[in-house]
Amino acid sequence: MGAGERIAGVLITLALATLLLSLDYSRSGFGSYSYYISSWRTVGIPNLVTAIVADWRAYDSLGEATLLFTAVTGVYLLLGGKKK
Amino acid sequence: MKMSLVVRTTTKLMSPFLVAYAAYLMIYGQMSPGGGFQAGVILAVSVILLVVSHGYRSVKKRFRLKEVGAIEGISALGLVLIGITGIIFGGFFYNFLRGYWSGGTIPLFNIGVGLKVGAAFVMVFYIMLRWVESD
Repeated sequence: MGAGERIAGVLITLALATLLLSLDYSRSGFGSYSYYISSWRTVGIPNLVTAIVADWRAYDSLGEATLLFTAVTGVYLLLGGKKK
Repeated sequence: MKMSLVVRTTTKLMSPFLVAYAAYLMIYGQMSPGGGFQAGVILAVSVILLVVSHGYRSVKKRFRLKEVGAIEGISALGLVLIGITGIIFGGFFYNFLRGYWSGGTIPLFNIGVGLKVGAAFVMVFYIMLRWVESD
């Protein structure tokens, strides 16, 4: 890693930082957040986090599980073979 | 590279309790704090603890890579099946077992995710160890 690449890396991260900071992070009132808080009891279980993770947004958790699955298959493909 | 006798016996004593705790988190994920992902990691830790203390070769005979991969695949299939059978009753991942027990498909979902995450981390650990020791 020469000095030039390191400087370029720093510049890119700074540019990314300014871009992300300039975005608007104020909480919009009517998003899914207020809906979750007001009516998570309809799922019928006392644990709010699991109600959202496993019932309302189970599709996201399924995506997360498949993400882990692809990660493991990736590691297996890369490192699984017999060392030449 | 095995560790001393003391470490081996303590890990042998302790890992079943880790599995019991992970099972508790998995099954009671909807009543008390818990869930599939945390339970899976604790499952993986109980196996990795044995691998670290007993060395990779002896544990490999007991928990083979093929079986761990099969567990991961089957539980992933189970998750997708839960989602698909939901389509028959309503939308994707529709909670069709709600009346039968508290949470309906949520415990099944947690158990599927727990087994999957546990098997995934054990597999990663095996693959990396095998690559390092290249036996």
